[in-house]
Amino acid sequence: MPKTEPKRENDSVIIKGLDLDFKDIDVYLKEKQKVNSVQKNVSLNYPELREWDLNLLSYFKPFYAPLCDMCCMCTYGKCDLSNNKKGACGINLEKQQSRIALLTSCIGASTHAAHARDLVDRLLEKNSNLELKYSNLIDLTSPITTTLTGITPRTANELDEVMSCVEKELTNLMASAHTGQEGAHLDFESKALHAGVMDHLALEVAEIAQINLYDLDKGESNTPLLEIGMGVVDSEKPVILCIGHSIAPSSKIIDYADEKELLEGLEICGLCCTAIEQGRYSPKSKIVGSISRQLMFIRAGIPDLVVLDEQCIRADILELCAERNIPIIATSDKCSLGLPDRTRESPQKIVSEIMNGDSPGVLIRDMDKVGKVAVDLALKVKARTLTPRENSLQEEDLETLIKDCVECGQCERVCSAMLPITTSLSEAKNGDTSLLASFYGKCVGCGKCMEACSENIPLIDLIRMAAEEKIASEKYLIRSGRGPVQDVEIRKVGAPIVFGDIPGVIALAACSNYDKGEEEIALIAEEYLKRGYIVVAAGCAAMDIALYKDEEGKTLYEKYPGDFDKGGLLNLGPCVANAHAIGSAIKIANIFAKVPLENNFTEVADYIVNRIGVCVIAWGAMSQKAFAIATGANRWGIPAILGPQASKYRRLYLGNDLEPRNIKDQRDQSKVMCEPAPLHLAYSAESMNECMTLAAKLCIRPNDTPRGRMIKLSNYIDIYKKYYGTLPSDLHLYIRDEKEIPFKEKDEILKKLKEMNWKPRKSPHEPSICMG
Amino acid sequence: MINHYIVVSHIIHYKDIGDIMLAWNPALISVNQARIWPPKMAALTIKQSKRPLFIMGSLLNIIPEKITEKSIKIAKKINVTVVATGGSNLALDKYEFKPDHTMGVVEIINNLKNPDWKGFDGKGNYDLVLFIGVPYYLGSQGLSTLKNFAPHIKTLTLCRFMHPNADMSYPNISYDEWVDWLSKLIDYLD
Repeated sequence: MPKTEPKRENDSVIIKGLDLDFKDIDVYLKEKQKVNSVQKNVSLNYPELREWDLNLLSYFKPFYAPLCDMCCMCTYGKCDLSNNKKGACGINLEKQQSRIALLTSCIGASTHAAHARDLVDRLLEKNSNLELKYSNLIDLTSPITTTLTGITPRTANELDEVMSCVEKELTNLMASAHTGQEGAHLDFESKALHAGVMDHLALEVAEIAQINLYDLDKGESNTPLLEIGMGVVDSEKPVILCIGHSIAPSSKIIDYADEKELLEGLEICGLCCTAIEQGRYSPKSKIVGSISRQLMFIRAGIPDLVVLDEQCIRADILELCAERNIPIIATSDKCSLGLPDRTRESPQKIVSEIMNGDSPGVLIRDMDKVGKVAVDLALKVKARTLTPRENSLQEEDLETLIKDCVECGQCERVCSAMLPITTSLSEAKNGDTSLLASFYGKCVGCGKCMEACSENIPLIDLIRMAAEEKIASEKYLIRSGRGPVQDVEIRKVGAPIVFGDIPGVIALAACSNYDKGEEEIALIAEEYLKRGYIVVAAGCAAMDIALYKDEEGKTLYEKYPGDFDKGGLLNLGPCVANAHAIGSAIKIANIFAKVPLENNFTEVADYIVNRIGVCVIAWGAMSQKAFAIATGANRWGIPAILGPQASKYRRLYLGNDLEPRNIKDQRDQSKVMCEPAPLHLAYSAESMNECMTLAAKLCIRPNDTPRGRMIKLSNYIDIYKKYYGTLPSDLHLYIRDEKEIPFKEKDEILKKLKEMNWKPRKSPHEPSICMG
Repeated sequence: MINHYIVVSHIIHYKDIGDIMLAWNPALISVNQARIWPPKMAALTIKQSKRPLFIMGSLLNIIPEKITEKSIKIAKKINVTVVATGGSNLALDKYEFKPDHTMGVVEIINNLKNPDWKGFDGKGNYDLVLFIGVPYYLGSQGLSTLKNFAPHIKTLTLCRFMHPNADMSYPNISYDEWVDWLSKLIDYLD
């Protein structure tokens, strides 16, 4: 074919009769953008969402386990609500539990929303019309926001509008918890679920804002490996410890140190999600670990300076640091600790004020100033402490500290992890500190033992001293937070996940309140990685799974690739990056099944709950944020397994574990009896063994193909036998046809099925729980 | 002080009775505290029950095997439905003991709180639920559910930590005393 040059005239191109004028295109795009920003109001259709909630809760009924039988929220009380009695306002114990669920969800969501608001305000300050940048490999840039609001934010202003909508919704939700408002437990629950997805909206906005503000990774799978652990911090250098969740102060500290060429001489480390944020910003920063290390690390006197931002900061941080002569810089209105506001003061004056001992710390709300003050101050504090440190608590040896213990057992009685502290102290008195040392990694670092001790024995310090060698060698590797999952990855795995060939996606989330130590979360991750599940992690869970090495001395992040693919282990980022775990399920619905997203929550959630084998495991869930994340996941139809301690959240959502489930086949609108899959929406597992078996079961979906179901059942049976030593007793509910029975146990299972009078049944073509 | 008391038959003499009868974690105070139930009373209660259920929890996998052995002996002495939870099957297997059912402790409590539940055998709900080996905090929450929402069920905990949310509970006792109390209970069940 002869080549013909397109005819050019006035910025026009003519290709085979296609006449394109770039000016017209430009005008068209500008108009479209105008229409987008003018016509699309960010709003939510709560009545429609409530309908979904009530439907969902008819399958997964709230289960209440009161932590307290009383209500003390108004001056009519205290009211005794035990045995489901009513209080003065008319509320009974059941409703009170649902009200607390709403409040917990609102507190969690508000915390993430305030975090997101802070980031959006910074973005607006930079440029309100700033066009948001996303990865070229991602078209579905904000799956949560698009599905819930119909808006796909393209500018900082649009993120602001989304946040205004979230803030309005949260205000309404909190108002419902006031005395004399909502009065039905299911409506409280609907609102708790609503707060949960408001939390997810905030998470997504926060991530988009900070990725744009700080140019963080936008979905690359092969992010660098970073150092993590108490042993990675070089205390010979000036140590700046940042605690919390915001990247704002630490990024400025890193920038200033870099600008002054001081980065190599400083140790800038982080604790809790701020640590992951720092790692995303600069691979030179170090990660101490999750929230459970806070008390121990500070009491060890390692930091020369502590910089606080927001969330997961101990309320006694000021006293703790003062005891060790560690100055504090608070940087957020949300955590000001009674410190003087020195935002308008010159950096030099602030540094002198602290060095002179005029104040244990300061509040600085200007992040550029925080960067300068933190670096200058850390250098001066370190220089001062090169002479013997003026700690009010001089370190004594373990033997001296322990001798006053009267073995009353009070420490043991209040221990969150129920560690045998008394026995360990008794053995330590006789020179054997091995039991005491073994508490490192099991102790959740709450410090209640020290509060209960009549002899003021610093138990946390004793554990650290006993485990000194272990701590010094605590050097692990974690993959830096990658951010969102790429569309191209979803395209590759969408079908295998929906049909069951990839048996499931396990999303590890939440804090470090483990019942039997942090190793369990790594063991859970490894069990599923070995079986070809995709494991994604965020927040403290992402850090804790790094603190484990196999026989070859490798961490899970070194062993498994960071792709969203079979056997992939993804560190999505800090806890706000949980948005990407939820987002990936939404993307599967859209990219693989073409389910439209805009203002289409019910259809998307109905698709997820029936077809996408994803399960959240929040094994160490402690905070209200963790509850909000899990509750939001539940509304999307994603089940969540919580650890045994999380039973103290007081509310779970349970399905009927004894009978098949009545759902609808959308293809012919017929009612079908099918397996109860997923069985539960929110469940507190008793042990790691139960969590292991349940997660495999909760990845089963009505839509599985026979081959996919066989793969899922094969994993379920195998895991069950490993952790329970027997065959599951509910296989008759999940086997639809003989060909779904795994070959390995076929004879044994067939025999059992026969005993139960099992009959094959058809699976629905297009399963749905929307019965209306 | 925990260790400063002696047991004579079913009569308990405490030097510090308040402390031993408090919840293991004193923060778990409750409006309706459990009654402390020594072995003889426990045996009588079990014997009087028409439809008892025995929940054996996951701690059996990590506490000394003697407790599993005693739990199995109790189960064998009475006509009770045994439910293994959280993976305790592994511990029970060592004694070749097969529980009647395996289920999540939250799931079984959810079924128990429904007065219309037909039970595992279709003959109706249970009237007494015995607990051993369920992690303390989870057990406490489950007992709270039954205490507040299942008036048709009585609960008796045979753990070594006092459970305020149970109807009847062993007090806070040492491991040796626990073994002793379980042995006595077995004897009284004759």
